[in-house]
Amino acid sequence: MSAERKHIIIISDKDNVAVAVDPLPAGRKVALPDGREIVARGDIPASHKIALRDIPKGESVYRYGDPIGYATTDIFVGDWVHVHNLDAIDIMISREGESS
Amino acid sequence: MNTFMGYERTDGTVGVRNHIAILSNVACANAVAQHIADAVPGAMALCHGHGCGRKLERRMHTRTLIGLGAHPNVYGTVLVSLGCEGTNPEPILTEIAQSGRPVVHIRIQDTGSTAATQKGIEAARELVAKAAAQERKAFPAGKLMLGLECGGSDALSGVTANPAIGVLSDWLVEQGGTTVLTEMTELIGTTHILGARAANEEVRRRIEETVAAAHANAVVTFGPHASRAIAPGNQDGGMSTIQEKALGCVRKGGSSPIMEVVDYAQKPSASGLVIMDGPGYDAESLPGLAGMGCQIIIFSTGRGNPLGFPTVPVIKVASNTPLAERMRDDIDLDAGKLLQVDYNFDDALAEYSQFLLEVASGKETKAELNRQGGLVSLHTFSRCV
Repeated sequence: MSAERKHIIIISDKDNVAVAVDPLPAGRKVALPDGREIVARGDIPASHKIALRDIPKGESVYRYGDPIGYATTDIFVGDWVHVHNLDAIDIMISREGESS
Repeated sequence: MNTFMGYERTDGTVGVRNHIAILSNVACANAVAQHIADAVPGAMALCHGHGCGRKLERRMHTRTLIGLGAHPNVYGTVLVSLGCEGTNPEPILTEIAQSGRPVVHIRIQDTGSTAATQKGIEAARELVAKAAAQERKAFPAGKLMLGLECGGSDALSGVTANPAIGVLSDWLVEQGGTTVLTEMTELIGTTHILGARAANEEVRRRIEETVAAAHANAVVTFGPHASRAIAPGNQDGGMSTIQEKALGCVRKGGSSPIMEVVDYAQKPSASGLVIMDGPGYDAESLPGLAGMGCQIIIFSTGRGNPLGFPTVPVIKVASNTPLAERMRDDIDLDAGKLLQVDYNFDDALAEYSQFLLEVASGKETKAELNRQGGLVSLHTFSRCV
């Protein structure tokens, strides 16, 4: 069995983000199952998300086939997606203070 | 062929093991129960820290003990009581007998612990001899109820192990079986998502109710910022929102509709994917899954957890290959392989479903080989007196 690792993991066809297996440096080309190729637009840390499609501001970010939040700014294919451009829909999240 | 070799029980359930349970009715009876089990090969002690002192949990604990004694994997039970404890042994004895299983009652205060131990050993030996006459027969995979657990999660748990378990869960549901999602604290933030998968309005309402209660409890315990359950460590690991973290856990349940929400250790009336209202704390979660009738539990871990259960095989799935190698004596399946280019979710399904059927047919998990049963940590939520 080959030990060559995938670049990304996609869980559901509905997902517009995928998780990087290893760090993806800016400029890295990633082949998608649908035959497209995308390019990392910034450095994506390991286990972090890369956008598979453009996600306009206010649109839902899908992972596991369900919305995990919404884009707080326009997201472009290949962008690193994290707390700087993705926020939760649920107002339970409090942005001040530390949690356990 | 999606079948396994199991033990047919008169109540219609199918066991994947054929244990004699030495069930302690109260903590004060633990030592006698343990001595009995230690003296009789084929007998398994089920000892716990309760049975008295906690009134609020009395009904839940009684239901759990009944479920453990009348369990598919159990041929017969020796119930060891003290005599003055708060938990009444009579309904437990009655319910186990009504399930068609032989049950013997040993009360320590009748004779003292030495004689009680001796009586218990004789009773257990007799039950083990009767159990030995049982033979495995072929049954469809749909006769299985599989508990789904995650513990010691890391950044990859929601990427590898939990989605792989989810694929297995969907497969088992397709076979007519039942899978059980629990650990309500891990569902916080997903109420509307899970609600949309509810089979009917009542299920949707129960999901909302039980998750809200878990959230309220978390706030009482951890303070007003408890709902922001993504710690900095989680964020560094890639989690951006609480929904994302929770969905990573919920993924163990695949994409099947949710048929029912049951209480801790309560038997479901439906097959398919169900939710058991229970704690996120693994040691207390497992007895609930066992008590409701799960014959097998599958447990994902990213940091490594050897925990098992005396009468239920627990299958361990590592989220990453370094863990599977480092704790190879405790891990059964390596979901870290999903990071390799030549191994995908359909490969994981083929491997895990085959392993599940082998375990159901008698193959021991690492937790069983290591005798990781330990103490039965019954769930508690009240102050003790």
